[in-house]
Amino acid sequence: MPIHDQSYRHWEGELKSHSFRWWVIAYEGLKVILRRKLFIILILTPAIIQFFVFGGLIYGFNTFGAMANINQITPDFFFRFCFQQTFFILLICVFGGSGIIANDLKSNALQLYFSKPLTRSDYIIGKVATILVMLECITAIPCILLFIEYAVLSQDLTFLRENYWLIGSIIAYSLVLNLPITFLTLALSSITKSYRYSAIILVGIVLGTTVISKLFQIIFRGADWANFIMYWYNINVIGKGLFGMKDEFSEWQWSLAIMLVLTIVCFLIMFRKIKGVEIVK
Amino acid sequence: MGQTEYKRSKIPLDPPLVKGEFGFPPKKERNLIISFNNVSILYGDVVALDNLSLNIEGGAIGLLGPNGAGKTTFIKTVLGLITPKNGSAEVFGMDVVPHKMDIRRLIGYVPENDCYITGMSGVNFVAYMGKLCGMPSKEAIQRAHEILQYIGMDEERYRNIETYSAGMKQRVKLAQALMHDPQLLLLDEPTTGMDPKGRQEMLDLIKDISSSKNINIILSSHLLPDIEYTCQDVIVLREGKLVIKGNIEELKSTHRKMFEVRIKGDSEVFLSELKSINVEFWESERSFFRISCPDGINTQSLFKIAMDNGIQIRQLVQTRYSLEDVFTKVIEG
Repeated sequence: MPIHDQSYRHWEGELKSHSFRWWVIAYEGLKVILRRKLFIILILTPAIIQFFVFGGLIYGFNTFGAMANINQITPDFFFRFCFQQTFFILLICVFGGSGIIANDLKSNALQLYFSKPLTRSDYIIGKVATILVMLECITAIPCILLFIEYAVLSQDLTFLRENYWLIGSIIAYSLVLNLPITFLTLALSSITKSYRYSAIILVGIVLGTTVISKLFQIIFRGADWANFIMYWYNINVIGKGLFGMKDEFSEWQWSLAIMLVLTIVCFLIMFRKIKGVEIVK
Repeated sequence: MGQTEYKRSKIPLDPPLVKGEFGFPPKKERNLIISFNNVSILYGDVVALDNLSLNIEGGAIGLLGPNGAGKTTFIKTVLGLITPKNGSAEVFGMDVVPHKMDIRRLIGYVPENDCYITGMSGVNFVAYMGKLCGMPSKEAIQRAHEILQYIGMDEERYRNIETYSAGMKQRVKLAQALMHDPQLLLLDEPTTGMDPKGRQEMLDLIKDISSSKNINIILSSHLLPDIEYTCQDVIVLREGKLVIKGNIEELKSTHRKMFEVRIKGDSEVFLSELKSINVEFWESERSFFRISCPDGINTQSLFKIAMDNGIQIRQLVQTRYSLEDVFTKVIEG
């Protein structure tokens, strides 16, 4: 074809299989979010700095012996790392996730998506993966790296032999931390065309449940059941259960059930809303 | 998980292009692309498509109808977004229900309203749409540049799509629909919001795509001149039913002769005489009429009426039936 020919030409390539079409959505979604410099500087960077702080503590403990506040690297150490990331998880969901579907609704992008060979499942999985990848990058992945760091720096294999199950706990807990809030974020994002409203409601639910729980405890004079209303309480309880710290939190199964119900409800809302706008105007 | 690699479909839709009358392929050489057989679609109690049966052959087809006629539902059904309650709908020989994904590989769709992905430049958006169809990343980027070049977007392609004018957004929508080299292009009001120059350029593009790029198009528009300019066939729907379907030129020629007449004399007498021989007329201004004559009435008949009644005919020009005339007539029943 001559270089000056700017006419239309037919495409003779091969279309890829349908199996990983969701990853295209996730990848492009991540690119759009990570193009925002403020998001990287103010949210992702501090979350990663936390990883280096914990890594430094492990290095210090192994190099200089017991340091202040760290007598021993126990499962609790890894649990604390994951739980301390919850602040950044919320920030990522608020500033990175709340517009993920809302923006598509606002710009009528759903009719473009569904005029392509895409299913609703592809779309939803792609959007879930967009948030989940970011959240796993600040929870499971650094926590596993910390575990590996400690295992490598240990003098013998005792720690690895006794605590190999921690890898499973870290992965499971990262999913407990990330999946419910991911689905909650996307469900809220799918019910409004404004990412601001979606973000405000998300913060309201996650932080507001703490306020409501405290109010119930005051009204009903220390009712323990009111704790289950608190979002982060349930996450904390499940974490302690998964990391084998059941002493005072024996009811982690209840919290798990609550989070499971929340996730399913959010999924159903999202599934219904996205179907509802699958319309060519 | 199926790992099938899909070769670009080579459904033998169109033979090598042979330009016919009006610059389009002759009808006889176009193959069936859409077949609706007694398709009914209901929204609650509202009948959107009412036992619609029609076959659409390739080429450029205009889709007309008043609001609520079922045009949008027709497009939704072709895309496999709506399942017919009764009947069967086939696109490229595939049933729209089980094969909607395969059908969408072969269709490009240009929606009516603004739609884009926020936070993306034009070229990234178009490439993204190609990747969603299954194009490899590098090829998608390369083709996005080619397509944007073809539709006449130069440096603007690097700008955020949210900053585009209405006309540029229409062009980008057309580009994304062309990315995977579809065999059928569904265009829903593609010139909405465009200035006259941009509109003409868009119509020229659409005409070029359908006439020389071997891509079938279905153009839904309220602007009858747009359809008349770009399409050789037209389908008119009303209340979910097919009212008329055929070649635009043939439809226009099968209707009665139209004349513009200017007279000097008693116009009331002249008009009453015309009425008596079943001539329809529209008075544009005093002594100037547009008349539609039934078979058997010609210019000589008009002159005779005028002469018998002492009326001078100062102007008598035969005019062509426009698509608008045809549309108005069939919609009015």
